[in-house]
Parts: sequence; C-alpha cells; structure tokens
Amino acid sequence: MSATGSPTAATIAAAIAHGRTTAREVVTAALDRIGRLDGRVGAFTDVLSARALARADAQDAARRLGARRKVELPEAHRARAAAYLITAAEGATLHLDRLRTRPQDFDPAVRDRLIAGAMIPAPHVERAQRFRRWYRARVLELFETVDVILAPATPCRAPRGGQTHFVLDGVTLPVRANIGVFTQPISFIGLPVVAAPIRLDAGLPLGVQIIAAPWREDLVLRAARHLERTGVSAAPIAEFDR
Amino acid sequence: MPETRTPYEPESYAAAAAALLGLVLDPAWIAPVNANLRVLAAAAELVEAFPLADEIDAAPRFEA
Repeated sequence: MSATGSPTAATIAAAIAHGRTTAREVVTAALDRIGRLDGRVGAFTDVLSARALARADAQDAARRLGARRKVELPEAHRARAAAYLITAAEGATLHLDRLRTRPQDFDPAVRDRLIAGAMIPAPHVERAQRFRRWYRARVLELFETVDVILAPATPCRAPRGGQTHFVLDGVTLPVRANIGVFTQPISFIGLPVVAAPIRLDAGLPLGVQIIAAPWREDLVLRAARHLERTGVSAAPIAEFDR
Repeated sequence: MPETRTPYEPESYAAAAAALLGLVLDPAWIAPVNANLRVLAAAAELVEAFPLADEIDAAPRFEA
C-alpha cells in the first residue's frame, strides 16, 4: 500500500484481481493501520478482524480457483430465519414424546429450544416452507451462469471447546445459534458443499464452503481437490494458543 | 378490528401451548423458553415480511 496516501477501493480491487496483492494482505494492512491510529480501537479489532479476514480468505481462495464473478444469494438473511423456524419445528416434532417423558435427559439449551419449537404456530412454519420454495428457485437460477460458489463457512475461526458466546460485529452472540450464519442459507435448500479448511498461520484454520447445484457433488469435490493440491487448503495439527 | 396489535406475551402463550401439547414446564425453564419464543417470533416476522405469490406452495422436500 502507498506510504503517501490510501489507495482507492477501485485500485485495491484491481490489484487483487490481477494478483499483485491478496485480499488478506489488504485487510491485514488496513487492520494494522487502525491499530496504529488508535489503541482503543485495537481492543475491538481482534473480533472484527476475524470476520474481515474470513471474508478475505474466502476471496483469496476464490481467486486461486480462477473465480471471476461475485454472486449474491438473494434474501440470505430471510433464508436463515426460515431455516431456523423449520428446523426448530422439525426438531420439536421429532423429540416431542421424549420432551414429555424424559426432559431431564436433554441438554438444557437444546431442551428449551425444542420446547419453544413445539409451540410455533403452523402458519409460521408453512410460510417458511413457502419462502424456501421461492428461495430455492432463485438460487438454482444462479447456477445457470456459475458452476461453483465459494463462501466462508464460519464467521470466525473455530471456537474453543465449551465456549458459549462470541462477538461478531461488536455484538455478543451465542455460538451455537450463530456459528452457522453462512451455512444455513446453503443447507436450507440441500445443496452439496465441501467445507475446505484454509490455513492462515499455525493456529486454527477458517473454513471455505465450496457449493454447487443439486447432484453436482463432482464439482465441489474437484474444486476441493484443486485447493488441496495447490496448497490453499490444508489441515495440519493446529496450535491452540492462537 | 382493533387498530393496534396486542403485545405478544410469550409467557402466557407458552403456558397455554404447554397444556395443549402435554408438556410440563419446570419453572426454571420458563425464562429461557420465553427467550427462544421471542427469537422465533422475530424470525417469523422477517419471513412474513417478504411478499409471496399465492401459487408458491410449500417445499418440504426436494427432488433433483
């Protein structure tokens, strides 16, 4: 990056597109500058930077695969909400007898979510299922012009065992309900996915989802193998103090 | 038709629904169940805010 001033977003985008730099280098440099400018901001950048780097790494992995286009999953936030309603209702239905007779056998957080799931009004679930029909049709249209979509698998590195909350974009959230924010809109409509670990350093890796149209498992496995062969994806034993 | 919507009270809703479903709620579960019901209500509101044509039917399973 220039020492005399900040490059424009267009200059940075062009540099990444032509391989002169990587999204990870740009994000790291920006985070370093924020840290130098204001030590107090540095208190927040640890958590924000994890998310920014997750996106940067997915973008770099995409470039290594020769990705040329950016696509947007329509209404992904609503897809997450609809998936949440459907899975809560389905889980509750599956376990309802056991919730009646042996509720003490459930993990408390799961039990409370299942009980609430049993109480969802039918129109809320039916509406979510109808939204799923619409959403699936829109996403399948994307695969008319692309073979594979890459996206982050998680919003941060793997959380520690037993960790219950993490901070995303400055908001403290429960890990279990939010670790899947990027996978829910994909699994919601049953698309085949490989989650490829992308190694950042000696610490825990970040996952990148390789996604294809229904029944195109061959494409996601082929892309994953390419990332593995070219060293972009690797899963060595991690150091846990990072 | 009332002009303002009646506030949603998960606690009384959960008590009535538990009786219907044959679930016995331990008093200690009520607060977390209510919290879950509020999250589900927010999700339902987000989904319902998206207009869908009447002919779009439910998609409970997928075929290739």
